[in-house]
Amino acid sequence: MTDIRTPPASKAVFQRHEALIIATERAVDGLRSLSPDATPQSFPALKAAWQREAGE
Amino acid sequence: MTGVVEIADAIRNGETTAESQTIAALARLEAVGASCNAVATLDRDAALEQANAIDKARAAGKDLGPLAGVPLAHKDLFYRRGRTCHCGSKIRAGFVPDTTSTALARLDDAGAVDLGTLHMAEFALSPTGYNEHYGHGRNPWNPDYICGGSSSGSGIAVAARAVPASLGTDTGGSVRHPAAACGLTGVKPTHGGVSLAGAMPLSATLDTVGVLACSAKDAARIMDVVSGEDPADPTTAWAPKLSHEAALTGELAGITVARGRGYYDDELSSEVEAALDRALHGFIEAGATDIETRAPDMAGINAFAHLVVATEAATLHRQWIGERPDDYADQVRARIEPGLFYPATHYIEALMRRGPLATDWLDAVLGTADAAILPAFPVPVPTIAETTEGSAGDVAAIIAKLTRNTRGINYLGLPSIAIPIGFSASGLPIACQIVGRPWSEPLLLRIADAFQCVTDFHRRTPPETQA
Repeated sequence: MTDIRTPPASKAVFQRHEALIIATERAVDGLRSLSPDATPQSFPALKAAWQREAGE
Repeated sequence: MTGVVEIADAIRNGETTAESQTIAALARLEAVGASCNAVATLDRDAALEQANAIDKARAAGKDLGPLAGVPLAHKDLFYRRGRTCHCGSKIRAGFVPDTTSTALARLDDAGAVDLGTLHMAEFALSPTGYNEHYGHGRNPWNPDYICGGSSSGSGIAVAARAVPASLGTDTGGSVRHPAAACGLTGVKPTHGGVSLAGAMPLSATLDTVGVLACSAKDAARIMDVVSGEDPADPTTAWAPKLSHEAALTGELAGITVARGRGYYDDELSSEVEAALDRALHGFIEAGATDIETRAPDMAGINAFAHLVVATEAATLHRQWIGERPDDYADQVRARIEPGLFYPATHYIEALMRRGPLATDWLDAVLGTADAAILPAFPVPVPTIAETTEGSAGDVAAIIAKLTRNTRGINYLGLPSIAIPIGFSASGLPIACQIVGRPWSEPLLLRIADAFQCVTDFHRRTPPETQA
């Protein structure tokens, strides 16, 4: 975790939210492995698939 | 005369005028603005001008739109060219947009009268109606209780029957929270179902424009007007043309609803659980069959929901937070600042997993059913004091409870409708949410409407409106 960047992402601000940030990252790391075929377009693709169903 | 459809029909039939409805609604908004802090800014002259134009059009025998003469007011983050839009904040006090949001423009085209802007949580970042700069919104059922947020003024104004419906936005529950707390029907559409163009963003990936109304029937009329593809908002590119009002049949023959258990039973109070059990009988009485399903643990989904909102909000607010940190409420800044620190790899992962997680969730929670019946809030509506006083940990715990059942649905991008299903011992509404597959809003409204055909919770009004 990079804890010092340009303001306003200062070390003091990080420390204020450290517990939440670490808990969130642990929850993400706790998920099963990401598919090598994963794409940021996964949700638009789902919407497009259901659009066809809604139009039928 | 309190409903969208009822008012529109009466104006069309000449039983009332747009002007008289507008004058009456302005007076009611002023009253509930004073008692419950519902209003940001009223636009009296422009509203009366719009109303008079509708009355003249009717007198001239012109075609009237589906909302002709219906007085509405909306959350103070929908831009209207030339009108101030504070977004509930000190930072944007005095901001005057040079464009009009697509949602407002579509309501204009349908003949609705825009009375002005309504109270909201600062930058849409509170599930309670909390606002340090303009005062907290208060619940018309009891002003000591939260009204829900962030579309707080929308919930207050519709519950008090000052206006028959109102647009809000929902990024983690901000339409469903005030609907649940105030006893209203609140529609959070599929992500991309209603254009976000010209609405101040919080998190474009999760933001949705939704409707608060007194009934599913009224909400359906508004959804027919505002939903659908908009070239100004690419997220609507996959929005089919949906017919919401026409889908309402008043019965649920052939429909199966799933009572989602597992995660949604955790932290569920006995009072809300009993109301859900009774509500299930209402859906069955309307003709539905029911099954039980088991929701998976939502830790990963809720973490992604938080991560996406915080990261996108931090991107939008980084400069303001750096230059004017004291112009944010501490509680609001604390929702944004963690987003300055999440690595891009986790943000992109959140986007990559969204489709597969939505598919998995639908398989588990809907299964073979058409929709899932889930609690909105897991606990009865809390008091304002419970959400603002006490230790930081206590406040954070109650806020987390209020959002635990709603924010994951935004990450999954699914449509959800909150409806009242009872009242708590303290006299505040209890609500469920009906969640469906992408683009199933007409079906969800049919389910809500059929339930409202066999129950009267949505018709009950706060004490102040009964005088």
